[in-house]
Amino acid sequence: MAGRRSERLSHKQIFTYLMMGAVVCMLLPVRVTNHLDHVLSVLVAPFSKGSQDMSLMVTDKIHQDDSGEVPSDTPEEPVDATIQDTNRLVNIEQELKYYKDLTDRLSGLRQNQSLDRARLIVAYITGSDSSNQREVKFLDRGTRNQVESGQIVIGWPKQIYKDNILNDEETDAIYEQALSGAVVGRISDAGSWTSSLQLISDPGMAMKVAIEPAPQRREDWRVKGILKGKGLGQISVHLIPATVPVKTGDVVLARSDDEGLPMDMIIGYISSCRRTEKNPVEWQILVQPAVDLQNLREVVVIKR
Amino acid sequence: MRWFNFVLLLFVTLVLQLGVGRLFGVGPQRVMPDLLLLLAVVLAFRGPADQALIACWILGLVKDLSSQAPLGSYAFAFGLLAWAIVRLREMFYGEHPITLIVLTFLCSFLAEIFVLFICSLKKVMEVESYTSFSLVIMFSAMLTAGLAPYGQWLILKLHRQLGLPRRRIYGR
Repeated sequence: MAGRRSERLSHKQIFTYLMMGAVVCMLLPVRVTNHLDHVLSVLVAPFSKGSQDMSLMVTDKIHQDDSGEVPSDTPEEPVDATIQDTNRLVNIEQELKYYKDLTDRLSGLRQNQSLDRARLIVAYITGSDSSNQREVKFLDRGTRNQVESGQIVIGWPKQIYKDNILNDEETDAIYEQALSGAVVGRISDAGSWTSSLQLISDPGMAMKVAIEPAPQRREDWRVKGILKGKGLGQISVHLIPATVPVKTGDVVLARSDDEGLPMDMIIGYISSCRRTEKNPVEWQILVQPAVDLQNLREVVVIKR
Repeated sequence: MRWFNFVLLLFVTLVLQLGVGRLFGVGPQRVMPDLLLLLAVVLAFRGPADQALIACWILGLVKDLSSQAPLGSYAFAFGLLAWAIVRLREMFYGEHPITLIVLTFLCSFLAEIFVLFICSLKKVMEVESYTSFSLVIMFSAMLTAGLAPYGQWLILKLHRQLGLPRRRIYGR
């Protein structure tokens, strides 16, 4: 009929309403909208993990020699083996300190669980954040697997997991590999089936840490500080007084606490430490992670 | 536009972005191109105006859901940039790849700067050095722009499946 307006929405009207909806969503608190992120992860996770595995298989094949066999003494192996051994040495030393403290506290004070008794949940990396600004990985475990926000995550060097994909029943193997690994981040958000791993280099990351001298220095001191991710792969430690004899190569440990980590564990090593005129009372420390954060494939979530 | 096929293409792009993007990233920070924005720019440049706007908004929403940015920020940015491209595209000579490369670079840079601004406002992340982040954003925009001609070639190959016209549409 002439003059009767069509009730169907035009594409322009739909677009206008969608843009208004986007503005409203931007005004909502982040904790409300974060839950929706995992809806998409559940659908995409199997495919992105598959594509990741396939591309890693292809790149591994490219590095093989013409004979089709992996050379037994490739230049990479000694370096990875040294990192593994150093990580293991540091973590075992911390475990020894833990048990020494435990024997001192056998008078009946509350006892913490060590790493081997804590529940270790194996999880696989299914993808990365789609923007360059954040350092977040997605895991294929969620609240249904008892993964919760705030739990600490351990990863290990690429050389270990190359041929050894773990499952949840191999608790001894998981524990042994975890000792050769390092803290790589924390669960920032957990959905039912998937969760988000915030890496230590992420701009929003802050963690209590301690610095101890490198094993070869044979010194005995310890200083506490705060680790902060600066984004772009950089990690810094703050609140370390300039009077402490910190040097490149010293060990940065994630401090144990009642909620996250049962015992101190290695995060990385100091890659640079200097004093600046702007703030002469404090060291400007940058940290090299003990594990390559971009090549993670499987990790372990520590449940307390 | 054939929306089912568009959703399939969107899904494949998302899987590549999440699963493979960082693995083949460039540099120590593993900077990766923005495949979702690339698809949005090509659709806005080539597709029917009204449907391209909605498609670009959907691409932005998907990027919101697959990143840690506040929900709505990429959707708004993509929608706004698509609207600008649709309004101005008849002024551009679309057959030369340089046009699309420059357009993609500008859109990628502006979208990321906008989202970085929103993230700082909402205190989602601490930014110590805006200069460093801007450099990474610019580098990512350059990578995305470099892939623009190939993205356009792929969309042209799939134009029948996506329900897009073979030639560029002039006028709104």
